[in-house]
Amino acid sequence: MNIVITGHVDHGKSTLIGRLLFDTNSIPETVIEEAKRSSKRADGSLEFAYLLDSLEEERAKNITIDASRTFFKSPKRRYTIIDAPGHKEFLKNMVTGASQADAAILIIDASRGVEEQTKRHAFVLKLLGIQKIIVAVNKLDLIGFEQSKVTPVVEEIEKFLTSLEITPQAVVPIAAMEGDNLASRSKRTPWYTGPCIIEVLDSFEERRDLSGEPIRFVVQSVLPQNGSEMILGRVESGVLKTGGKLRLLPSGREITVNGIKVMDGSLKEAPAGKSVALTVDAPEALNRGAVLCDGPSPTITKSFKSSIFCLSPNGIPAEKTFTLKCATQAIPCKVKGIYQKMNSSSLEQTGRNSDKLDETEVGEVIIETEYPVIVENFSKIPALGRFVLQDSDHICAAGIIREVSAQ
Amino acid sequence: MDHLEELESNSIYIIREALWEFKKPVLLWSIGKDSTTLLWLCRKAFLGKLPFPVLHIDTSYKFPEMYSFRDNWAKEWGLDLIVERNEEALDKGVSYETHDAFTCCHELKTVALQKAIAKHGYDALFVGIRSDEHSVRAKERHFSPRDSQFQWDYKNQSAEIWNHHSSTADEGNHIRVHPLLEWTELDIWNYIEREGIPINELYFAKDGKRYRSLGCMPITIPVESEADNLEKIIEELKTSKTAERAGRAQDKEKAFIMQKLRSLGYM
Repeated sequence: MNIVITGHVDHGKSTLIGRLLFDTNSIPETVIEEAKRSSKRADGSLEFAYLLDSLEEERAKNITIDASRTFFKSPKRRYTIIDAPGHKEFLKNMVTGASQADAAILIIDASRGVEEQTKRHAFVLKLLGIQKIIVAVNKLDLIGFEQSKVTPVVEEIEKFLTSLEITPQAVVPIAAMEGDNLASRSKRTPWYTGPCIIEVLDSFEERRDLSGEPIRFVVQSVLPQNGSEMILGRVESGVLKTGGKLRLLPSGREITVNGIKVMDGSLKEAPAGKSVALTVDAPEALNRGAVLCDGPSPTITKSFKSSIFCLSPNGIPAEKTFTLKCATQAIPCKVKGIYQKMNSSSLEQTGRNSDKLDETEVGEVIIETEYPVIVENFSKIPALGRFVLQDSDHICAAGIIREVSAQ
Repeated sequence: MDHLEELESNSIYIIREALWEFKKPVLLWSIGKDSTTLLWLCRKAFLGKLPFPVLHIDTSYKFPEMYSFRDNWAKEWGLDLIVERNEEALDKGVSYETHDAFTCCHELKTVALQKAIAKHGYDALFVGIRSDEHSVRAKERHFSPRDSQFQWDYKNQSAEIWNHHSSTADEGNHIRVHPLLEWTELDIWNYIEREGIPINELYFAKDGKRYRSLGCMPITIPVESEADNLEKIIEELKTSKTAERAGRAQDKEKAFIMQKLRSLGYM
């Protein structure tokens, strides 16, 4: 399970991870020694954040510039922890990290309360479709572990999350530096009777198995091999079977799967998530971006409505051509109407019927594609329900489709 | 699907994306366990036959066992194997006997690779680095551009969201493709065991010592170990308290050395 750690700069994200790894014996001693040697602390004690912030520039300024991955195991399962930078300037790195996550910890410094990036990160989690969220109220050591000082912070964040329609799975008071309520319950918070961070993580259900959904096989490329054409791609949902008859989108033509090939032979079936190679009766009809499916059809449209999050310093001007990327589809598109936009931290509306979305703003927009795109609700088939907009150099925006409504 | 199947499937997806996007990719094969696992995954992605060549940057300081392993399996798997060395530096006498590890790594690996890329015109390099090897590698993207000077702009990496990235190889640039970032050292060994991937004998203990990470002979130190088979290696790693690259001298000469090596183009 992938967990992203989010929150405002200096609220203790890297320290929380460093401590969590340390307490679960996930870090080799030699790495701990290196972090101790580099520590600028007078007593030579460990700078937990140094276990992650390894760049010279990061340590010099005590900041996190880019997201990093680390691994640990609880008694229940293995986790990948993604450390997201808290500075607004590094937001694209934060989104990069968060887009890989199944769940998130939103950390708040109890002595400082909810700040600008706390809110923005919460919004990003919502926009990326991450629903499992733990709020960790940190630095209890700075407020003497007093419940009366934690309560207002909790009320403030809960009020904000409610406005985003986010219900956190748990709100845990912690002192990351000292390890309170991380890997075990702390004696210094007798007023808190809930689970510690690892207990909450372990209580999360596994990622939804998409094998029960209709079949969606997304074509990556067609590879000529030994005189036949191999259709390379991944089963995004459902269970694909040899001999199965599927519908090819966008054309609607019926395609028979003659074989599911892997390096050392053939498979009878392939579950959701598996990368395979197919032989089919009409390979000439397939190319990159095509989708093989059964059951209720996804939507094929040249126009749809969505929220998008702008990551580009140049903004997203209406009418400018971008490439829409959804699964392996890449289609020229334009943002037509930006009929509402808002500040992603304060949630204040910053304009209606605007002609440009600025960096870090969230817009309700209509996207028009040059030719039909295959899309679906994110909650049903994630791979066909999330997309990015790209210019020639960069990913400029990202969004998920909550409710496909062809325009 | 279990954990290893998921890792495998995601890596294959990335490998196939890279083949679609780049005109002239090459797999960098150091003959170690990670790049051999990556080679195996590339074979699986394309059903046994690699649609691109395999490049070995030969510092001339590798273990004899590595050269024989390379040649045997290159033949067995029908690889288009390309071996390149920085002959100019070797002629000038750059060697571990006379130079520090940083200089040797830079000249014999990075510069040799620069020359190889210029010579063959590769636009993408498959590299088997993992996040848990080093905290600098933990910040890598799956698709990571290097400019003509081989610089890694680690302070301003492009966004990579879900499976989408925006890295294109402009003239003179190349993209490093990293399909193994989510794999841990233990995952690699479990996968090697499950798949029966051939692996160099140097990893297995002889006379109480084994190599945990393979590099150039003069700067690679074996660890004390009795693990002389896969099962024992996996057991050993579950309780190990030392870092995988503890036996790699070049990581430790100076502070931030890995970052410097990487920003200069080291793998």
